[in-house]
Amino acid sequence: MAKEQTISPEEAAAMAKQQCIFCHIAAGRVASKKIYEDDKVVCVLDINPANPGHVLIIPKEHYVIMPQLPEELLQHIGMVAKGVSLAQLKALKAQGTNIFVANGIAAGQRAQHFMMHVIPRMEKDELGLILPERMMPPADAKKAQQLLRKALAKALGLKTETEPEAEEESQAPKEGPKKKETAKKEAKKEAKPAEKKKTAQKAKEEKKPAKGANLDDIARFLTGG
Amino acid sequence: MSCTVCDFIKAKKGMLFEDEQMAIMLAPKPAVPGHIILAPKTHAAILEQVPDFVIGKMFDKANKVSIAVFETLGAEGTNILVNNGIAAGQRVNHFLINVVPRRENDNLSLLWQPKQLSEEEMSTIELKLKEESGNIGVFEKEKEKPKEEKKPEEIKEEQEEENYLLKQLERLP
Repeated sequence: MAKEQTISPEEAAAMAKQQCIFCHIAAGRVASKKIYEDDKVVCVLDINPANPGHVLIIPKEHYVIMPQLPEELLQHIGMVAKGVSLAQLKALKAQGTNIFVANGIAAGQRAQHFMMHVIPRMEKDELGLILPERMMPPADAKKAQQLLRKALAKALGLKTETEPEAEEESQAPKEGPKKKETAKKEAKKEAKPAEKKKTAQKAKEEKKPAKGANLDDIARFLTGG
Repeated sequence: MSCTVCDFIKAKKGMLFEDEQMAIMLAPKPAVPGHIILAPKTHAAILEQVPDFVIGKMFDKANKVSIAVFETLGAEGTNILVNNGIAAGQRVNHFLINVVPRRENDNLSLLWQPKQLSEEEMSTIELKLKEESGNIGVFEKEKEKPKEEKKPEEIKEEQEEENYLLKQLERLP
C-alpha cells in the first residue's frame, strides 16, 4: 500500500501548514521585521525587496490563493494595504506605491501562502510593474464583456446582472454572494432581514466543505503544489 | 477638471458591474485580453483619497472579478495591481485597481529584480515605517460617526498632509 493513500486531505492541509514558512512568520516562530500586526494579518518587510521598504501583508490563517479568502478578510487586507501605502509615503518619502498580488504560478506566485505586496516607488527606479497598453478589436471586447458580465454576476451572487439591492446587502458584514442563492429558499420563510442573515450564514457554513475542496483543487492547479 | 475614467463610467463603456461606490469595466487599453479595471465612482486621484470602506470593498470585488476571469477566460492566474502615483506607473488621474488575467508564456512581465539590503538598512527602514504605522489598523467606517476619535486639530493636520501627498503624487500631464 502506498503511504500517501493513508493521508487524509485534512492531514495533508495540516502538513502544508506546518511546512509553510509564512505561517511561521505570521505566528512569530520565525524572526521578521514586523511593522504592523493585528488578529488577522501581519505586515513584514520583504527580505528580498523590490525596493527598500517593500512590505508583505500576510494573513495569519493559511490560504494558498486569493479566491479562498473570506470576503471580510480580503476587505481587511485591502484597508491595511492603504494604511501601509500611506506609511511608506510618509516614512520613506516615497513618490508612489504599488499594491500587487500574484495569484497562481502563471502570475508569478512563488509561495504557497497568499500575500499582498505594497511597494514604495521612486521616480526612475526602473522597477517595472507597468502594464502595457494594447488595443482590443471591438468585436472581441464585446464578446469578452458579455461573458464576463455573466460570470461576474455569478461570482457576486447576483440573480440578474444589475441588481443594486443585492449589493446594498453585501455591505453588511459577510452577507456575501454565493451562500445567498442556497439560502434563498430558507430565507424566504424568514420575515426579518436579521433572521435572513443568520440563515444565510448558516447555509454558508454548511456549504463550506464542498466549496473549500473545490478551491483547494484550484489552488493546487494554480500553484503546482 | 475632466477625467477620462469618470467619462468612461458615465458612458458605461465596457461596464461589467456597478453599484453606488464603484464601477467594474473592461480596460479600454488592455494589457492582455480580459484585463479589467475597478474604479471608485466618486472621483479620487490616488489611493489615499478613497475612503477605507470603499477600498476594502474594491479589493473584495477584485477577488470576485478574479474568480470570474478564471471561470470565463480559462486564465491560469491573475495579477492584482495598483499603480498609485506617477512614479508607480499611474497613467490616468483616477485611482484604479487592475485585474490582469495571466497565462504561461503570455509575454507579460510583472516581476522585479530583488534588491539586497544590509541588516542595518533593513532595521532603519523597519523603525521608520513603525513610527508611521500607528494608523494602519484604524479604519474609516461607513456612515456611523467616522471621525469619532479624532480631535479637530488632527483632522486639519491630516488634510494638509493629504494635500501635500496629492501634490507629490498628482503631477500628471
